[in-house]
Amino acid sequence: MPIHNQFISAGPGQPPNPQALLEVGACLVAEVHVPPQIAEVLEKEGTPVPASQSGIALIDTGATISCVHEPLLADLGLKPVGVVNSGTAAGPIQQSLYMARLIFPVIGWTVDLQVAGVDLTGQTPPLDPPQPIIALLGRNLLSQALLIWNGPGGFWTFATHQ
Amino acid sequence: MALERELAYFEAHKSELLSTYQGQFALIYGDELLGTYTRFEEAFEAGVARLGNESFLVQPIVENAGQVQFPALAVGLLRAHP
Repeated sequence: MPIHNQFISAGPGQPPNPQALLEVGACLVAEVHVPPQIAEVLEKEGTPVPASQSGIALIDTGATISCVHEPLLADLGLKPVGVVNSGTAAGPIQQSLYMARLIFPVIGWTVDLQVAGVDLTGQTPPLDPPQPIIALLGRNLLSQALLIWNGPGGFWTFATHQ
Repeated sequence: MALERELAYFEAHKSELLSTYQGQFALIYGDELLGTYTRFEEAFEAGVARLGNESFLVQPIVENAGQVQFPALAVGLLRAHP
């Protein structure tokens, strides 16, 4: 079982810092890929498979399912394959659902899952260097993992069975 | 909104689908039911195998699909559509 400990510090060479963890949250680098079933179809057609998009993914235990910045999904050429109903301050709305492959290079984990397309424009955690959030990792992903939040220790732990 | 035609088909045929396939997933393209499957992933794979990289609907056959929760969306930190 791969186990990843993410220590959050106030700067390079600094020890883990609870305040820094509070400000940054549980972020990790993620790549969003075309799912293998569609990549296979494109390859058979002789169509180039769009290159993956990478950025920061933020673990969001409040989200039922994971979300990805919708323009990024469009850049990958992905099409909606479902809808989900969600509640907003302005009332219930429908959001498009996609299948996508997510790869987390630091953890060495690949997962194919349903993601909702949302607008994450301008969402940037306080990281150095700054990088945009491209995905929120909700409970449909966490259902396949172990997550431990150590606030006083300034770190979090993520483990998968893969 | 994407998949309007497919969603309209599902709503029009919901009762008959529920009577036979409740709890499964319908694969719908345009005005046509292409099949029913026990898992979302199976329906997705069948859709890609049949249609390629096209938009199609994989719809759970349930009376009320309910709502998913995105608190960040609900409080306005995120926007639902670009």
